[in-house]
Amino acid sequence: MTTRVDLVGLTKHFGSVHPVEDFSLAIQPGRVTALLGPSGSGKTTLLKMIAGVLRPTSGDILFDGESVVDLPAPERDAPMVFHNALLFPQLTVEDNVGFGLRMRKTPPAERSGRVAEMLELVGLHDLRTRRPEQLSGGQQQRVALARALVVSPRLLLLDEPLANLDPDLRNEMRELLLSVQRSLGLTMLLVTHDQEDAIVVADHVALIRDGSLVQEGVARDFFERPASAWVAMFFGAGNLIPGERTNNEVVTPLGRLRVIAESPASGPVLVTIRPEAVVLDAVEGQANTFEGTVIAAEFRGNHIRMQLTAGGLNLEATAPVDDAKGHAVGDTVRVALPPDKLWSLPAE
Amino acid sequence: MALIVATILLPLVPLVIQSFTRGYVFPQLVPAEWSTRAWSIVLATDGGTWKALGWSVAVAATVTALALLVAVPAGRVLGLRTFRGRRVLEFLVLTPLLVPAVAVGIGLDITFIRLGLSGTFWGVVLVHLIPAAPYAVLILAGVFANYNEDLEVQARTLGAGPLNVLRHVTMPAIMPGLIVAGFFAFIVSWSQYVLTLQIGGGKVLTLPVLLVSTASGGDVAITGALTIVYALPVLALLVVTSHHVVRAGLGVTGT
Repeated sequence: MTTRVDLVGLTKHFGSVHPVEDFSLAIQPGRVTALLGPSGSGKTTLLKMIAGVLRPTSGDILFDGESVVDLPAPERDAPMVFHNALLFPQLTVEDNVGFGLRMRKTPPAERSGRVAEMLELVGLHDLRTRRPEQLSGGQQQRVALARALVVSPRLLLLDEPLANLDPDLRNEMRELLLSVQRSLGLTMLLVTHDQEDAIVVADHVALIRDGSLVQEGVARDFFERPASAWVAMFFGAGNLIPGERTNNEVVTPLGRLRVIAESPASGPVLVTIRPEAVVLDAVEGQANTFEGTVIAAEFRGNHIRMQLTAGGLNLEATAPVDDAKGHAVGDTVRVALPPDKLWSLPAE
Repeated sequence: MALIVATILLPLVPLVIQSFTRGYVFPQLVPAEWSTRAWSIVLATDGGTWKALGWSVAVAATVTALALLVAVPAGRVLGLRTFRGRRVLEFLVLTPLLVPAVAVGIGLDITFIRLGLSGTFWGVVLVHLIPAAPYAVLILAGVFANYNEDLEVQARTLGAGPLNVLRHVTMPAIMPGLIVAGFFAFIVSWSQYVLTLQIGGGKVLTLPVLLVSTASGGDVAITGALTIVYALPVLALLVVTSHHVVRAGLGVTGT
């Protein structure tokens, strides 16, 4: 079952606290949408409103075009999977997975068939008679996933389902989410504060800050075309250069820099470029070049993180680990900022 | 375990011996004469024992039920919510245990007479709730302090309505605490003497009331037999619930 979900001007106020403010988003059917934001940005409040356990102060939630605001949580078919598996401790794995079907009064024969199917899907069929306390954290999380999937949800809501897992398990669970999504074609909404989770799992990312939508799109957009300096910083852009833009050129302390034509804003702007896009040894004829001095070089495993100073500004760049040139602290380098990697933003 | 059983049961041994004697007085080490006289009086079908046992069970069971009815919602709020004045409220819940029962009883007696509750079953039940309910509330507050409400949210999004949430999520989670709280409420009511006498006015003759008047009569054999009748139900209840009492012990300190 694939359901399109539309959030229309969703708002939630608790007295003077406004965790969600005028939030609109279209969640495409059969796709994974990630709701990404720092902790305390209102993600979980949004999720609980969609699940039906919190009533919006105003705004609407549409499932396939129909409002579900007045539909109580048990009838919404939008189960949540929490970061802690929240299995029912007195029930076996099998009975936990079958819980939703039992609530729907599904005949026992059909129930056990579907439970077995879902346990197979998450690879836990052998553990079906265990109790939750006999399972590892990762196994519990997979049971929780199977328990939500068994009811054939219209929308699967995932609240930081990867947050409590070790890196290995995390990758495994990401893979599982993706394969489940592919085989069942579900509409999923993944809430996370981890940009990597969002990038790896989701087709579409919505970035939320202080209860409002800041930017949405495919993951790459957030890196290359951030909507604001805050978005750029959230995705680790690192470099923000102030300047004054006219047409495609920005006058900055580093000189005149050409930027991507379609980047927004004119007048006072911030120019941003990802550290890995900064060229350290510019060749003759390259655009946007200037001299800089290396002030720090740190080994980071798969790259070297460089700090440069130029025109009174600090810049971040990366160099390969086996860089033959071996830039050392104090060296002068010829820096180029490729115009197709320079994005301008309104100065805030 | 053996030690626990010994501490609870040993004090009853002299009572058992005492109950089977006739004229067992101080200098004697061993009773001069054995007899089942006391037991035949105490257990006589037309005697007061059975009636008193009936009163005690009815009062204590009603008190337990009402105490739990109050304690579940109250404990839930105290255990799960943080709000201004929560500490004060917790203290207010405790105050009935700090004020001597006699003082409360005397004050309430006048009000209860006016309300027509004096000398009635419900009057005694209400006055027993004063010391019984706080124990139940505090125990359940401890249980709810360790309770994860998201479990209910989880069940609801999986399709469980309010009754199913109660049946499949809340009740299983708080059951041990409920049993312990009920046990405490029952014992507190079961052992009330002063309040029962004050409010019951001699009309609600529970076992402790009968026991004290019997004891002051001076017949050690009958007193011994009656004390055993009085103690046995509580001991039986303790055996049934001991497993939960031990388990919930940690929960209480969680407040």
